[in-house]
Amino acid sequence: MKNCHYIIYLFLFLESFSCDKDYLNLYPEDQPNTENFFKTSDELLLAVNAAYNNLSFSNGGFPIQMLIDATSDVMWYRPASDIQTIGLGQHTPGTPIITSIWTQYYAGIGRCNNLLQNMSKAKTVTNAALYNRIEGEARFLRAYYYGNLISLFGDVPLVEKNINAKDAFLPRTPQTEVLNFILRELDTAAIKLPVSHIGLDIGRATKTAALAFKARMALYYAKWDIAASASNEVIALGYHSLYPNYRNLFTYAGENSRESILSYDYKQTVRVNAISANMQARNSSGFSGIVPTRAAADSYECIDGKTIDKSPLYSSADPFKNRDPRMRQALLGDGDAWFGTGGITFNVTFHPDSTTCQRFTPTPGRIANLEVTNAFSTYSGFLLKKYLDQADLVLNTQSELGFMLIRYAEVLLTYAEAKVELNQIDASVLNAINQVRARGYGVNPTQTTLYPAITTTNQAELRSIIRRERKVELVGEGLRLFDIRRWKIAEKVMSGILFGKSQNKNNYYKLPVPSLDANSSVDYSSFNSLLDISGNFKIMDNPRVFKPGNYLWPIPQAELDVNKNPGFVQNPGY
Amino acid sequence: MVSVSNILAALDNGQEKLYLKHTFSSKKDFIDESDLSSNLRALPNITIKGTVTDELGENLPGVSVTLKGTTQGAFTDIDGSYSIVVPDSKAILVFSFIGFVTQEIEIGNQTQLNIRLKIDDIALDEVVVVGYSIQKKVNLTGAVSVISGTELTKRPVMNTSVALQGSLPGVTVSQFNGVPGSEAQITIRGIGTLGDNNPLILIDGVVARFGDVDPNNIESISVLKDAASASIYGSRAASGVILITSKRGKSGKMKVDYDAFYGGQRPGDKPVYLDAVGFMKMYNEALINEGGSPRFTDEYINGYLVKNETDPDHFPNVDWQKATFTKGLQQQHNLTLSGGTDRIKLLAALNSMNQNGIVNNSGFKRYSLRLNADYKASEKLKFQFDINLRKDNNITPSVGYSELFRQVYRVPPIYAAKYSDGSWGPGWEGGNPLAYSYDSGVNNSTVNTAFINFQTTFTPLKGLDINLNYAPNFSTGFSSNNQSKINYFNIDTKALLFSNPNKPTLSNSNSNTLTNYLKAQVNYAKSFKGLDFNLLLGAEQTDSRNQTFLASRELTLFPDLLQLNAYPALNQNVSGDASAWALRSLFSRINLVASDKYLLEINARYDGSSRFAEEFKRYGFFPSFSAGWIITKEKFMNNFKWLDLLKFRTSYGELGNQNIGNYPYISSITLGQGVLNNNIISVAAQNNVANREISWESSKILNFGLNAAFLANKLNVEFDYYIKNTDDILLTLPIPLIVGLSAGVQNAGKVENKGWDFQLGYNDKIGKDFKFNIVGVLSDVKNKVIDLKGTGPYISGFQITQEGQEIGSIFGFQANGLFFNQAQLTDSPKQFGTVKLGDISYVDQNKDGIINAADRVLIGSRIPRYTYSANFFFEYKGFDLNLFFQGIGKYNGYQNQDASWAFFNAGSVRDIHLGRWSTTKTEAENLNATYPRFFISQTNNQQNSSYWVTDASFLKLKNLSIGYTLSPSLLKKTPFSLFKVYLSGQNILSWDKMPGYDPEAPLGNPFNYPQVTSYVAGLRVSLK
Repeated sequence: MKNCHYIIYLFLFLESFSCDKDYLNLYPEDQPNTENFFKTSDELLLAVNAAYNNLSFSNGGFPIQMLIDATSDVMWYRPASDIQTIGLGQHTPGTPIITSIWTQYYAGIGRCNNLLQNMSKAKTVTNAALYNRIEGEARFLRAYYYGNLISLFGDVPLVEKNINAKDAFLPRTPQTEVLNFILRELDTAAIKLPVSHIGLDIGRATKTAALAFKARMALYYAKWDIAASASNEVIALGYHSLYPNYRNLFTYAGENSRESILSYDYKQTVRVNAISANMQARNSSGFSGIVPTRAAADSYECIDGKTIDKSPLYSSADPFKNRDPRMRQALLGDGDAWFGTGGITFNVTFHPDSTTCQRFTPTPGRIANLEVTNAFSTYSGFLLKKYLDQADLVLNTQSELGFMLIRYAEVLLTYAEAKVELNQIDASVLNAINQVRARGYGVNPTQTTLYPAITTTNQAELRSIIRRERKVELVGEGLRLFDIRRWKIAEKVMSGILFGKSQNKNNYYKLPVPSLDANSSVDYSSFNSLLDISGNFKIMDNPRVFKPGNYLWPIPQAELDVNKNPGFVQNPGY
Repeated sequence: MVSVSNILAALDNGQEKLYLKHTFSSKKDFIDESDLSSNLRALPNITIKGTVTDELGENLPGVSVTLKGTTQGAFTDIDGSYSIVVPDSKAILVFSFIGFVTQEIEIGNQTQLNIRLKIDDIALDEVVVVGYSIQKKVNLTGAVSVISGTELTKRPVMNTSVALQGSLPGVTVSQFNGVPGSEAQITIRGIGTLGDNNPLILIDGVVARFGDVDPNNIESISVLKDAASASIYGSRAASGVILITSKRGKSGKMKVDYDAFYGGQRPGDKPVYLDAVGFMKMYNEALINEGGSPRFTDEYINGYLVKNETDPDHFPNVDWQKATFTKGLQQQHNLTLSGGTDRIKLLAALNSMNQNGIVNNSGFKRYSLRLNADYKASEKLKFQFDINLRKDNNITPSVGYSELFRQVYRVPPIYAAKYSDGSWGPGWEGGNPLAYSYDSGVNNSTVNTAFINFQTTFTPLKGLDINLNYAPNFSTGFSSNNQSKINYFNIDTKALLFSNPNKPTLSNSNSNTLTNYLKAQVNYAKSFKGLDFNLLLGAEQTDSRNQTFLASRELTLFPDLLQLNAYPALNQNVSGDASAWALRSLFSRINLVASDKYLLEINARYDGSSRFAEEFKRYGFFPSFSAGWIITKEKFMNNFKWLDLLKFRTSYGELGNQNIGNYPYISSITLGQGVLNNNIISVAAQNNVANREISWESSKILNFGLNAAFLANKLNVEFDYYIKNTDDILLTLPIPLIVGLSAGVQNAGKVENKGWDFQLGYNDKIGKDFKFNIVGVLSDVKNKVIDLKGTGPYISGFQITQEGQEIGSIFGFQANGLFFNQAQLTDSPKQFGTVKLGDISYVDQNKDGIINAADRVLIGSRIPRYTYSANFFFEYKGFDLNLFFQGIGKYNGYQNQDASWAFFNAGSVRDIHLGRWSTTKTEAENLNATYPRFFISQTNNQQNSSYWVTDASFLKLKNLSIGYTLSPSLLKKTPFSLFKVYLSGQNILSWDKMPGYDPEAPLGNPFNYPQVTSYVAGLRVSLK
């Protein structure tokens, strides 16, 4: 009997200890590893797909491009944040959002490098056209990331291959060298990529995306001939066109239209944006987080094609009256009918007089005007309508509305600007500008009686017009910061008090009319004399400061802390 | 075979009681002939009766009375009396009882034998649980601290880790918050690594967690602090080892013990916020400081409180802490049954604890059942079979504690919490902690655990034990998180304003873990002339596999139905994963004790881990050596009568740490998703750098120690000095961001800890009735990063790790007070943004005229120095009083953001902020300003600087317990053998320099569940 016990347990133990050689050989069960990857065409696709994820990221519910606009003069971000800090000129090498952007783009570059370096492993098993396309996508995306990096930071280390941490203590590569690399890569990408995709591939990088981005880069760095020819190629390909309705272009109706050249897309369960929650009006369950500034609003021309300081049609008492229709299509202002929470339409009222506002539907009546009672309603007296769709009103943190990174209107304006700077002013230049303007009026460019078509061929005048045109057409789309940098107007437009809406009920519509200069920059010095009257203005930023060093962002401290290469130095002024 | 007639004959002799005890009661269906015949041969003829008492004359029930050299025996009953039959007058009776000195009495011609047992407080023969074995405490050469279960339960606490606080030298127990059911963080001898500093915890020899055992079921806890004692656990022992031994059944009459307490909790240290009027005034001041216009008119402010009384909906004045916090009731019940025979001993414990949190919808419940069984098949073969079944249930508001408490400490008082019509006020744009705690849904997670420990010991020869151990531990967890929608209405129009979150979701997750533990071990003990020799050899393997599954759906139309099927399938989400690890090891120990005074011990362990690449360093070897000298056993010490014990010890050895994730050497491709157009696409990317050559961290500890006892063992002293060098620390050293991957771990660092532990105990009584016991503990450790392989500094927020300094030192600008006058401003180096009077002035360390990253210096330490505690226990005629103080002598905190900044993130303002620099104050007042000028958003004052470093040293009265035990004479006619009532409080008083915040959680943001003060009333009874 007793021996029974021994035998049973001895058996059990010997059984369990049996020398299973693989007992300690355990591998992750939910993911492949680098050793066995890049072996099939599907794996190449998965890898290039990952590189698209770095096109943008969310911060405070906004795609980062929109926030970058809020570090310029046309938009402003209310929550105390890194973005506000940058607007104030108080950012430092430790400002987290700057580090995040740097990290995000370099991570994207790493993904592209890894793919480009290893994809040959699957060359024999991959259809040649697909192989080429994937290579083109990767080259395009890498160039896109470098383009953003040099435009934000100046000289950045050019990494073209997978590198080990040990080999990554690199100096900064001169901006021009990186730029040349970008332009070269975009040329290669343009050859390898198709003009358009079909089916599930729609949304991938195209030949036109490569050319359009090449045009943007060339324009940013004053390579006018390259900018003109690249943008002209996009135009000549004829695939893209302007979406007829400017307002709807930024709603679900206009999503992925022929105007969109590259976008960052959203889908519930993967990623969403919360633009609706964070930018909407108070009565539409929003927080008015990002708002357009007065400078954005005051830049729209009147319908006579003149700026507000020149046009007799302008009335400060009714700023939307007689203005370029794009103003009302892009900006939400006092008196606009707008959709609110609970299926209502109401009359947006920023005027400080009314604690209630008009409701139109479902039944006429009055509702509380949260824009006046809430301390954090719009500071500027305007809201941006772009990317606000009624469909996002309820699930306002779950928007699937894609954000356009490159669109055709920009290409047209790039073409026009490059040609004007080359002083090759011809009908194609006027046509490019007028296409953009006419679309704002909802008319054909040839219907010159229905909108103020541009006819001048004076270079200076055209320069001024194009600078204004870019500012209003592209407001909120993440390009303005780069424009004020390359035009060297940032010291002017990013300095001093950022005036918000009038706080004074009696003065609300009785403010001086600011003037616009040759760069179409708005001058608010006439407002300073009204400052003494207590409560006259919402002071949004006081003061914004922009010093010469601020034309570039600082290299992140986290990178400087690690990279001790003597050639890796901070930008001056930080 | 024994015949029935023989048995009957024995019964006829009137010895049925004794006889049955040794035959039928302990055997199932057969009688061992040899056992029985020896009993029969010794058929007795003398009956001895008597009473056993303790030194105070109290009757002792349950004392074992055995006839030496036989298995015959009896137990004293409730009155302490016994009766035993012995063969002749030469018989020797052995009286033994746990905690008392065993006495042997030759009966001679007595028939009445009253025995007074001495309490075994000398404890020299006390055995201590050490790795894979037990040892006589006096022969220990390693640094091992021990606490008994009795000591642990002197303070009623909800969990074992908290009970350990301050009890042992060198063991730092930090309780950062009062989250129900949460375990405290334990570090042994400082922070040895930048990674996982958690000690290895074993319960009855098997790796477990503190939560796996209830404090009431603990027999003892040993903490292995040095390499000599811990290295037998090799690659998991670098941060020390805690061995918990659970109580087991003892032979004797069945004991029934019941212990319960009931009480409440409240937040310990509460920050004080200004009310609505104070807030508005200060907010205006901040706006004016920034060049803005005041938001609230004087008229509005002045009339506010009056209007608040009649119209609180439009003029709220909310104290968010008062509004949100509730009484957190807590209770615990523990029922233990134990008893057995010589052959079978059982202990069954049933425990239930229920701790509500201090906000609604929060709490922790635990039910556990422990069954410890010992079965002695024969003198040569023994079995232990333990089952521990447990159910842990944790409930939190779905929004999570950090968001909830963040809003409690953030939302200004002028936002409504709850309107008069019963609907929720908006709080801070839907950040309403009160609404969160009632309506954000509930995260309900349950973990069921079955922990089985099966052991068998075979003793083929005297001194040789072969032990086999199989312990599977299975746990299955299910968690249901229902994030429901809180609707906020306009109080005037009753129209829906917004819902937060706007998408209700239900996610369920399931997790299963099976850990198998298997061990074979041989012990051999042999004594030669004056030389005790002990050899231990063993092999063990552990493998663990965890599987998880998660599913979620959203946007239900039936918010009360909390099952996934009640939700639509649109946008449903599932995910699943599994991970595993395994260890296979050999270990051994040799012990030599010569002449009871020269001690030598050698340990070695060879570990193989699945966490390291096979072709590199999968296997590690961890040896240790130790020696001791009990000098008081030397003849020349005989003259020192006052010195009962003096022992010197020294040890040196190596330990490892392998806690670095399951697959650190494998470069994984992370799979994920992206979106193109309106289609979800699959993506794959390498995100982290991996290092195939990754291996163990190894710690080498040199230890010198002594133990001494004086004054007839009333005074006990223990002292240890150690140097602990940790090499190859697994560091995630920052790599250039341009690599595009997150850094992987490398064996890069070297950290040194030097410290000492000191413990002093004094045990005495005054007169007959007044007994007292004082234990003081004091430790110190200095920490230094020796080597980071030339890399670093390693900066994370306001902490820095760099060569030559402590781990995680606080790093930032040296603040030089505030700017008080224009001259200072003019002379100042360039700081951040527009700097004005009342802003913080920083020291320009490199005198380059600009304050930037290069001017950052060390401004504080995060390593607690001089941790101490003192426990005072007094007993007088049934009353007992326990006072427990604990503190840290030198320590820094760092408070920023919501913890210490006014209006941060549109937050509220505290009383301590009134000491600000202000244009409304006189110049003299401003010179004494304790806070910079107010602002809403500005960067200069928000830089990491010494201005925000706090002195976090503290002394706390952690526990005060008063108990009264009814005297046994009063219990005579009751069913109780023990009846005790007690009152106890935890975290009662704190002497510190951090108003409003608990110094034990002094870092960064206070988005934490606060530390709680709790008071309980309890009852402890034992049945006769």
